[in-house]
Amino acid sequence: MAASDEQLMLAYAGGDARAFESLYAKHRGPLYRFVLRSVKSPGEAEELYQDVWMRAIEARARYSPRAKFTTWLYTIAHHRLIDHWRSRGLAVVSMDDEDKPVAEPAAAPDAEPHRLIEAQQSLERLAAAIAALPLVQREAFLLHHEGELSVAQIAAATGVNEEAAKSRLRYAMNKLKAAIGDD
Amino acid sequence: MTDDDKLSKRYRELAREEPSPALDDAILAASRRAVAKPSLARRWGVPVSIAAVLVLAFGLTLEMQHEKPDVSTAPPVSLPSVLPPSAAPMQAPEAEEAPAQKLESATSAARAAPAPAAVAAKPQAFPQKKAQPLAKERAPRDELQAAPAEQKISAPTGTALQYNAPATTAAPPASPRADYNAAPASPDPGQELERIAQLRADGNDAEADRLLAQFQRRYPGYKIPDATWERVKPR
Repeated sequence: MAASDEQLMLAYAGGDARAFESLYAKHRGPLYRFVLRSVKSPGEAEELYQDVWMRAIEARARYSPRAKFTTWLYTIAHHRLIDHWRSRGLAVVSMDDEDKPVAEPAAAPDAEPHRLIEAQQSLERLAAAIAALPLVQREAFLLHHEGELSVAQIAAATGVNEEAAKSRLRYAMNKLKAAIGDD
Repeated sequence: MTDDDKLSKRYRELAREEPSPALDDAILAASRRAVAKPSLARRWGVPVSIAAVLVLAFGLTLEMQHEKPDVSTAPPVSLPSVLPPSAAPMQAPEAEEAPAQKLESATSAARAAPAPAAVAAKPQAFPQKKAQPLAKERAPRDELQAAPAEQKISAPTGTALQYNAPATTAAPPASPRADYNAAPASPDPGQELERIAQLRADGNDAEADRLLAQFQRRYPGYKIPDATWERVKPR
């Protein structure tokens, strides 16, 4: 029986470097895509991605398996992204327009969802729709689909209550479904 | 398939980007460094360094103590032997200058001579402690001057009190203190008695009576020998 993520992290905190290698191999892709699709720039994504892992390594002694390892890891990633956005003068809270009616992604004119879906149903257009989401909605969507976090875990990772997390995820899903024409 | 499932399926069809191998290597190397056990040199480097410094300091301290003995551990008689003969009583003349002048003004030169000599004999043995006993000697003298005359006279002979002891009695004192300062009496009761006996023999009974009374006041407990008493008693 394979060790759980939590056991692996505890083993690594105890000095087992191989346990970290197992954890890293399992989570490297989803975490990288989560970061890459949050900031869009590959260069920034690599820097932030490395910072997240470094913070996890430094915090190994303080790790406590009270929650899933992925919740802990993506909480670190969330805080690192918050720092990143704030350093660029972006107000994360003001981007949370979840109370507004569902609208089309604020993309370029040629990224208009109906045209994109009708034309080729291009996956790249889906990516554009994801990129057009408000920060908190995109984060909730990526945490759910890349990190495989539940609503409760998204709430824990982002520091909001479950209702807010659920609302963010629902708005993001609705917008993306509309973008790909399946709504 | 629900709409959510369709969206999830479409999402998974997106490009599956992954970090570069170089980035993977950097992170994994950092993870190994973080939990790597320190080498033997790094683990014992600091304790061994501290121990070496302590041993070195202890050895240097011992070496310095051997090469440069402490003044307190050196024999006290060895220092004067190193000094030239003129340097041995270096502090004695200065320290004794004031008492000597005092003695000359208060007593005869003959009585003052033994005092510096007695004090100067001490510095040859303990020259570094000369000033302290001299200061101690001065203190009782000052106290003696402030004390009543009877106490000073009754002080034991052979001590520093003799420096200020009066040589002779020149005039009848108005008070014991005035008498002591103005006309010091003879320190030897026998001499005084002899003087009184001489006055008796000369027929100067009035003066003999006065000195006898004065003698009895100064030496209230003095036991006059019978033979002497016969010569000095009032007539």
